[in-house]
Amino acid sequence: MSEKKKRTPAWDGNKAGTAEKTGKAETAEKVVKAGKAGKAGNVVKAGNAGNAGNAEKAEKVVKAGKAVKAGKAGKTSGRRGLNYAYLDEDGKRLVRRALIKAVCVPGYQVPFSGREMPMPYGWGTGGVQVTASIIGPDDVLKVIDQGSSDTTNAVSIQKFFRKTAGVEVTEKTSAATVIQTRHRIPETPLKSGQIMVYQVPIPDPLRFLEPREGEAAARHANREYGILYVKLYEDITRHGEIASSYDYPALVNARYAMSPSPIPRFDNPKLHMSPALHLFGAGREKRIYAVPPYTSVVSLDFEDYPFRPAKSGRACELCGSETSFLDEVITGDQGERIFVCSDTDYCAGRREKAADGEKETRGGG
Amino acid sequence: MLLQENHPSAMTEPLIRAEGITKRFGDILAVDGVDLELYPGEVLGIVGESGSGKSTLLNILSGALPPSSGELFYRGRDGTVRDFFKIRERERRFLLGSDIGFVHQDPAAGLRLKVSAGANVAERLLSGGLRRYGEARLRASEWFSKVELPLDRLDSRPEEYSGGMRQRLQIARNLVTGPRLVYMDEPTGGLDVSVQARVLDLVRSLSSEFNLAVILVTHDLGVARLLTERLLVMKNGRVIERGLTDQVLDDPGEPYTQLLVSSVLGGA
Amino acid sequence: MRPAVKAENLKKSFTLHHQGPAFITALSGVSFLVPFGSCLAVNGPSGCGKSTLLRCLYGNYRLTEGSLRVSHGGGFLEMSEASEREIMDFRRHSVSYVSQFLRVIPRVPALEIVAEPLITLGRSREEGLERAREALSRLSVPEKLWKLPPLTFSGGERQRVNIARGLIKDPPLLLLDEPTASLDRKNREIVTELIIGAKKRGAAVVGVFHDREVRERVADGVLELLPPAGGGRGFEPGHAEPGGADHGTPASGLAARATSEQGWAPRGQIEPKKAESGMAEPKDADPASGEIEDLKISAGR
Repeated sequence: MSEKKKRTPAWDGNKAGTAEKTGKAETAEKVVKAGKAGKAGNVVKAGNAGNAGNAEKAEKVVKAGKAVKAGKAGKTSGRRGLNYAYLDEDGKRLVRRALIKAVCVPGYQVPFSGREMPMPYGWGTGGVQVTASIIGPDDVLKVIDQGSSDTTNAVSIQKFFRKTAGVEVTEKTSAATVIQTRHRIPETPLKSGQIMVYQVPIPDPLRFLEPREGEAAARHANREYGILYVKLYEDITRHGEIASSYDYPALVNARYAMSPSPIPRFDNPKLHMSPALHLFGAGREKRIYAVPPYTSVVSLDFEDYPFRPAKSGRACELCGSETSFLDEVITGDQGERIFVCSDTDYCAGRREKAADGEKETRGGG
Repeated sequence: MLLQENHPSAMTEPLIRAEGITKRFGDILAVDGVDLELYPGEVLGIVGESGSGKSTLLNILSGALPPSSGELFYRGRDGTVRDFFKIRERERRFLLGSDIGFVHQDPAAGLRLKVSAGANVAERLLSGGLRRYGEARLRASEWFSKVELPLDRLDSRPEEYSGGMRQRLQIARNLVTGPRLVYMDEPTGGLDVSVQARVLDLVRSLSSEFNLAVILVTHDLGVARLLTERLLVMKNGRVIERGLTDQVLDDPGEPYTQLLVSSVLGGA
Repeated sequence: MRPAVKAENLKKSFTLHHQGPAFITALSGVSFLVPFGSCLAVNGPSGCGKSTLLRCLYGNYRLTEGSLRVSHGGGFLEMSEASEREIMDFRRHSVSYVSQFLRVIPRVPALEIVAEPLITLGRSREEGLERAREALSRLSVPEKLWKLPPLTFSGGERQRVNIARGLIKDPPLLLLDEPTASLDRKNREIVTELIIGAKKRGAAVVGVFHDREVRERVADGVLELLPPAGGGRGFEPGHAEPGGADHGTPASGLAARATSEQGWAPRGQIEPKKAESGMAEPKDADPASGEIEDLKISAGR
């Protein structure tokens, strides 16, 4: 018996519920429950140490090494009358559990019982629930919509978290700890410790050709991804090349095929071996999946038609970047158009730098 | 390798052997203790009227429906014999995608109508790990010729195809991986007589050319006569008569079989 | 000489469940022996069970009683106990059955129909087709017909295709059901030569020959089957051709007979005879009437 216990891995010990671990778990809970002392007791179910242990793990995994400062959390309360980051604590716990599983099984779509959010489906409810479950008061949030942080959707989500979680918001990729996005991965390389949260409309890459959920699940379970190649075959047959330019399926960790949400295939390579943690939330479909740091993400292709990230062959007319993803912008009634960086922060940063360089040069001269 | 397949000793080993296949739906006994054997290269017919359990039996044998009881011994390419219902799902699905085919009566059930015909044929190759577009397309077009489909329709969608073309496409889609066993459920059920003959002829010649074992479910004794070597007659979920096809049709013993045979107008 | 067929006390009866039921005995107490290299002619009036006997030999009809041993694979196969697989193997290797009607498969050209038994035996397609060409030209089937399905052929042309198919693999046992019935004199002669040739190569032949001259030339013995007692019009049991999509179903044929022949008490007997004495039998003098009877039934459906 004792021998058996010795062999039990540490995290199993959590489940067993040793006093020490339970204590810690409660602390973790309290931290998360910051500002809601009255309710905390109810939520932390005494005797349900296994859950608490999981919750603790969720915190650890999700925070990816970021220490939660209990003191600060206590002081920074969300909006009066609302839960911290809007989502109630049980809801957050559900999402976190799904996140743990998602991180443990990269690319696998974990079902979760999503909550109603104060916005319609299709506006990023999946991403918002993930963000709400991982965000802490010391986080710095950036929200991207269509590559920019000043569009309606991005602005309202930023506002939402500023109000409910009291977090600082930023447009700067490098300054953000959590980045919620819909269409883009920032051009500025991500760093270890940063978390990307994606709003996903249709999480299953097999949906297009296999609408039966059960059969699609069986195909994932058995790594049968032939029909994804059927899709690529169709593309080449119809367009002479693989024409899917968004939501381009990729194999995660050489195991699960993943739909990387509506990011352009240009961004797919940024997922491969990325130092950041990538979390995907589909609110309507109630699925969560993840690409942990330093995980292989390989875009599907044929040997004779290899994957190529789309390149426009142009340079941004504002910052001159030749490597970034460009948007076409109509500038006049006669159809005048320019191509500019889709990532506004990246573009602005480059222009600033260029301006600084000029100043410096001037100052020096 | 082919020589080995044709070797007498290889022929004496059945490809599949089903024992006591039974399926209950509540109180209804849809399939009741069916035994059968199928040898490599052999075409076995299952006849019976609607509700006799023949299609249910086919769905069980092909792994689409779990049996209530019974065993299905499957002899793999390596010669090992295992219970098809007890092997791991992954392996079963692999076999169903390569070594075993299924031709449905309704082509919509066996084809992707909104995906080009070529991709329909190539799918099983792609699922099997083929990662060269050029080769997939080439092999799809080869099979197009084998089933007498016009090559200029390779990129059309089957939804634009006629019934007979769809059935031929479905056959190509199944045979592209070189299976040893194909289940067919009324493959010519919805076709005009003239189109039917062409599809039947195709099945007949392909099964002999590729030494295919086929289990063919049909209610059409003419089809059974033309294509099958052995016949099982099913009624109320049970096999009531079996024998060589010409024995059963020319010298039917059971009352039900006699009724079935004599009720065919114009002869089987 | 080594026997190719040993039949002892054969009985074949039919139970027609939907006709009362009606019980019909088509063959009873039939015994004979056919050595390799010889030909047994089965003789008797229509309805005496000639075709039934051939079908039992081919394994098309399942015996009711008796022992029927046929040479196969270096030994004997007991047909009354043979499995389906064994009969299939016997058919593939050891016997050819030339029935009166060619089983026509839609869209399959004559050449392929003739070559098929060889290809099934594992010979190459090229060899099969080459031998089929030889056989068809030997039987003077016009070359322009070879590539066509025999659906539109005349009766004589079909029959020659059928004979070519039956003889191509040179089987140890040859079952012939009126092989010369619809042939002209010239082709009758060719077929007769072919049968004699098969015998010379050591094949055993069991056949029904209405043509006295042919029978006289090929048969080494005659098995005389007696007509059913009661003297009723003879309907051959199972006159319908196996595989003959154009010839009605056997069961309906049986049913047709039972309707008109209620109380028919069949009795088959054998009278093994020398070919010469067989020839003297007056009963076989009018083979055509039986044929017409059969055809009438087929046409009636």
